Amino acid sequence: MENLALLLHGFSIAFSLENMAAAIFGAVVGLIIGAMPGLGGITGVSLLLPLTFGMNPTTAIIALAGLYYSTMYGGAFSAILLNIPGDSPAVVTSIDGFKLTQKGLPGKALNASTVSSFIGGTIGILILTVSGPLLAKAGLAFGAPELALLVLFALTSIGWLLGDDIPAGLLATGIGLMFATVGVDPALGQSRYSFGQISLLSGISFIPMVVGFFGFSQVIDMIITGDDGAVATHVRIRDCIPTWSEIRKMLPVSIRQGIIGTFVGVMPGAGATTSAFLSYVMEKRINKDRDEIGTGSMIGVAAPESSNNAAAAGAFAPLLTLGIPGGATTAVLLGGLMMWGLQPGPLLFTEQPDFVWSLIASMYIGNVICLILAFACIPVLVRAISVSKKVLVPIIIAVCVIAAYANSYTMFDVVLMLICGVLGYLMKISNVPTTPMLLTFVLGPMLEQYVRQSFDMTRGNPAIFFRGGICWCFIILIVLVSVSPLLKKAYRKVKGA
Amino acid sequence: MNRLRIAAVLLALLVAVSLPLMAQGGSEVSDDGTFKMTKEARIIVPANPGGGSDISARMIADIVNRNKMTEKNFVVENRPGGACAVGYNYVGSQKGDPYTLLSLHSGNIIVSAVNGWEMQWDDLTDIIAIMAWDDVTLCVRTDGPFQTIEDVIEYAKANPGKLKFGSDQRGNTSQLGFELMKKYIGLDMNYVQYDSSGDVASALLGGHVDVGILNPGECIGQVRGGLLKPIVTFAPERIAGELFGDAPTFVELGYPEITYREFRGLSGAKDMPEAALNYYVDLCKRITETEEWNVNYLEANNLQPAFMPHEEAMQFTQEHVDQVMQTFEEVGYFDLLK
Repeated sequence: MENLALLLHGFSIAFSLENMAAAIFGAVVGLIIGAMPGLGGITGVSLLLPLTFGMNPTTAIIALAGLYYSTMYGGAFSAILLNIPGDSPAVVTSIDGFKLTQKGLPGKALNASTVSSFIGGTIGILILTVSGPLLAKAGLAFGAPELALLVLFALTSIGWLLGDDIPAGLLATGIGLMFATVGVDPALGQSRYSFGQISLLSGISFIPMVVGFFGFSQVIDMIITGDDGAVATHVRIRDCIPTWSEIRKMLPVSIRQGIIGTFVGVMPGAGATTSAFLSYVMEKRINKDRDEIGTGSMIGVAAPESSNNAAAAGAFAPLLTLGIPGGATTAVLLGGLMMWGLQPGPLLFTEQPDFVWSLIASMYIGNVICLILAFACIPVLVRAISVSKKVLVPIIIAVCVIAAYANSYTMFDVVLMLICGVLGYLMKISNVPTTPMLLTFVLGPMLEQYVRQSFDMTRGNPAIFFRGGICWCFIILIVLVSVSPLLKKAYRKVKGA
Repeated sequence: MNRLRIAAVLLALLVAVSLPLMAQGGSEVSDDGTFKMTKEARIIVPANPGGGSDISARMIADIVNRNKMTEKNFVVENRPGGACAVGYNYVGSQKGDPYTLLSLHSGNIIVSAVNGWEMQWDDLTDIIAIMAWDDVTLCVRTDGPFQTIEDVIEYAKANPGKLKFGSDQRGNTSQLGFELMKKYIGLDMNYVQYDSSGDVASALLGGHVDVGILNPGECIGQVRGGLLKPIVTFAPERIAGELFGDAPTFVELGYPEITYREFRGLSGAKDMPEAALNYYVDLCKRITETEEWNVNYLEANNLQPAFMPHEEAMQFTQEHVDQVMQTFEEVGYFDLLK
């Protein structure tokens, strides 16, 4: 119960005027940054971190942490309404979210995403409060071989993401892998397919690519089809509020994925994006309404949103208890701790209890603020979507260009975005799905890095992938998932015969 | 009608491409024997915020701005990517501009040479001054099987190709440490490459690698917390302070060749006016004399004081690069890439 006393003390600090202002500031800015295509948690934190140089560390971290988890709420907005994921963890949300919008139910999708974000985030913070240090230690058990198998497991979902046209789906998978290969090779430091372009050395940037494939291709489509209607018209308030039976379906999903998302967030390197993909795959396999997922289901929105918010909270466990980053955004925050004159490490909890516990307390408060803010936005957002395409198109074009340019302040990324947009449009009219491409683009480089690290450890001996229980768990899961359709078929045959 | 729409798309594309291009302006250079800043100078950080290069750049900017040491302010701009190539090449593109500076770290310079960039560090930048030494240590877990450098050497000699050496990136000063140990002690270890020193620390804590190469600033929290232990330093002398003072140097162990130090400081765009260069050299000297620099930066991050002005620094760095290239050549690293 010592934790509880410390937490209460933390609340007393977090409720101070300046810290409350910091939390609200973080939540508002995060929501906006998250909703803006191209800007996500890492960009937001990187942009604001320099401004906090010389600030009181507690106030600074409350604002930045608030910004980070708030982007998880905001990222879903444009994913659902415009099919442009605001940031990478929201890519999965757009799959079912945008289909709901097309069905005329954007309000339901937004509500589902906001509520499950809140549930996931709160579960993550609860777990962090109760067992932060233990959790961080558990995360350390995941080395390169374990993470490689985890990513491989997430990739097993490609099978059903391919759609009806298998060759087209495989083509998209291949394009995603091809794009992912560009840049400096993670093992030997040699550049691959960069054609002497310095901007390509760190690979094709995810943000301009996603903005192009999702957002810009949509604009081209709108202009060429040329109807002047809205994306979704006649949205009734009645259609915005989830029914009781829908809530009952969503709740267990949010809780389950919140718990799993927290653990994924703790693992070194695997962050909110991986957890969102994983949760979606998992629900697609185990949920009893799995056939609905992928066609515009609220479960398909709830699972990734709960999971990515939980992962954002989980990523704080190794940062606070061990002084090591749980993901890219917390790596930036780690630098922040040093800038503010704190020493990240295992002694932070004992030496700076005020800092740590007021941060954790502020996360509870911040989540409530995010929930209220997001709810307040929903009616406005729903109305915005019923604007005529004549108005919407120029706005989306401007947003796409700015988002791409803001990625690295170079025209290169704008051109990349435009090329991806045209490519995305061509894929759309030839019915090639984009989701498998994004999945391999995000997970491919991670798989490559972890596999090569594993081989570095043993000089190419694959036995390392069979070390320990965690590895075997994933191997069994991968095999089960891969052969389950065959088994089902065989079972039906036997039963039928 | 359809053709009109396609034309509209093309027009929109054109506008989209040309808008940001118009926003670029020229830069003026004032040169009348003595240089005075007439606009803000940018320190480019070729890495993300929060890293070592970023912290040193922000420290410099903060000291300069707070003490009003220049006519105009310093601002910091992050241009990460391509293992510092993006930032370096950007500064290279601002040739002659006295307002484009760069956060200097010796690791980046080594990368440009080892990875054989088309334009190397000295084609792209001029070093203004070396301002601090950043020493390098090898760390182990306190509850792991190895507790001293002798344990590690003994095990690695008896079991070639078994010991896992965790490091960040490749072709940099971290790999230099690995290659020097290979060359002069004859250790056959496995080089496991991570993205950042934070990842090395977590792999080390999880027991996925046996030793990790880290700067004191990157592991001081874990060392104080009793999770990690420094077992040896690559510096010519022991690192001051109780936390790192117990770690011997390779010189003490009888391998005087295994010695190098990383350094930090400030560079600028290639070929800026000489008056401007002298202005910044003098500024760097004054920065290193401030209390903020020595207490809030050097002490807080476990760095050692240093100062080497432009010419001396360029010569020192060139010798350092030549030495490193020779080592990489001798251990056959370049053959591996062929």
